[in-house]
Amino acid sequence: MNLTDDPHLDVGAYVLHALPAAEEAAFENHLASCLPCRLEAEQLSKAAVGLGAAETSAPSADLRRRVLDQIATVRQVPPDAFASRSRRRRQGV
Amino acid sequence: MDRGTGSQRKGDTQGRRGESTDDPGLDQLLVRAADGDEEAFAGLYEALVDTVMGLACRVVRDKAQAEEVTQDVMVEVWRTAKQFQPARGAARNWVLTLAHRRAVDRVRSVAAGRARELRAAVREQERSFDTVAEEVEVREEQRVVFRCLTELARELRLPLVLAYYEGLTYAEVAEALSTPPGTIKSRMRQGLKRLYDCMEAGS
Repeated sequence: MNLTDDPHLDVGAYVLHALPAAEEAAFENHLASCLPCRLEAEQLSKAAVGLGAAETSAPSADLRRRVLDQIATVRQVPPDAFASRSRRRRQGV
Repeated sequence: MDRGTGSQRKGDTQGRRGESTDDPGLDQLLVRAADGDEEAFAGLYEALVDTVMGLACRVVRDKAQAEEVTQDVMVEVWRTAKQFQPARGAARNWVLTLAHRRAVDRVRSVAAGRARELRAAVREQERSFDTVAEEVEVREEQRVVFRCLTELARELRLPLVLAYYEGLTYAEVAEALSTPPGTIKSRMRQGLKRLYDCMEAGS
């Protein structure tokens, strides 16, 4: 009867990045096998992005140069879905 | 190729409603950046950096830290650009989703003793919402988002803004609002769905 046992229920919290790491990993496993969940997550994430785009702020002028200098030294990772996330997770972050 | 912020493409009103901010030009820039095109990446940076910085400022509440987050996000966009799949959503959404995650990670990492701050967070969100909603000098997209937030019942709005802008987990939101965690999860899902429907209808 526990509502929190329904994995679909987590989709909103997932999109808001409001699941603790372990629950987020569990939900991503569920997402991998649940097409309706993925579609719902994509839809809800558009709403979340709306919240995120609510304000703009100009960074200092030299940030552009710093970023462009930095990317010249950063190697791009291959197109492996979720690779960066699972790597982060293995590091325990 | 210097295509600026792509505002000239905003005249493309034939796109599906609710996707007026999904600039296909940005998708192309990100796809080219994924092939190692630094110039394309610079174009993407210019189009999105103020929004990423605005989001980071809102969540971390400190300009210097927000700038670190912004730098981190932009470099991560470059590093992981090959993982962007245009079919799965627009470049702008992809970048802002990454930016939100990084900003939330930043506030969580320094959030010892957060429990004490939960009630303050609720008050702060109520106040900042009232303030921001009254501002007139906002872009059309912002106006739509604020109007849609206003139309949400408080019980649906607060879990969204506490999680998204304060970086609280659903359990922390539940504690702050003295509401069962399962109910909060349900309201987050319902609130986002309503917000989505409202933004689709209003944009």
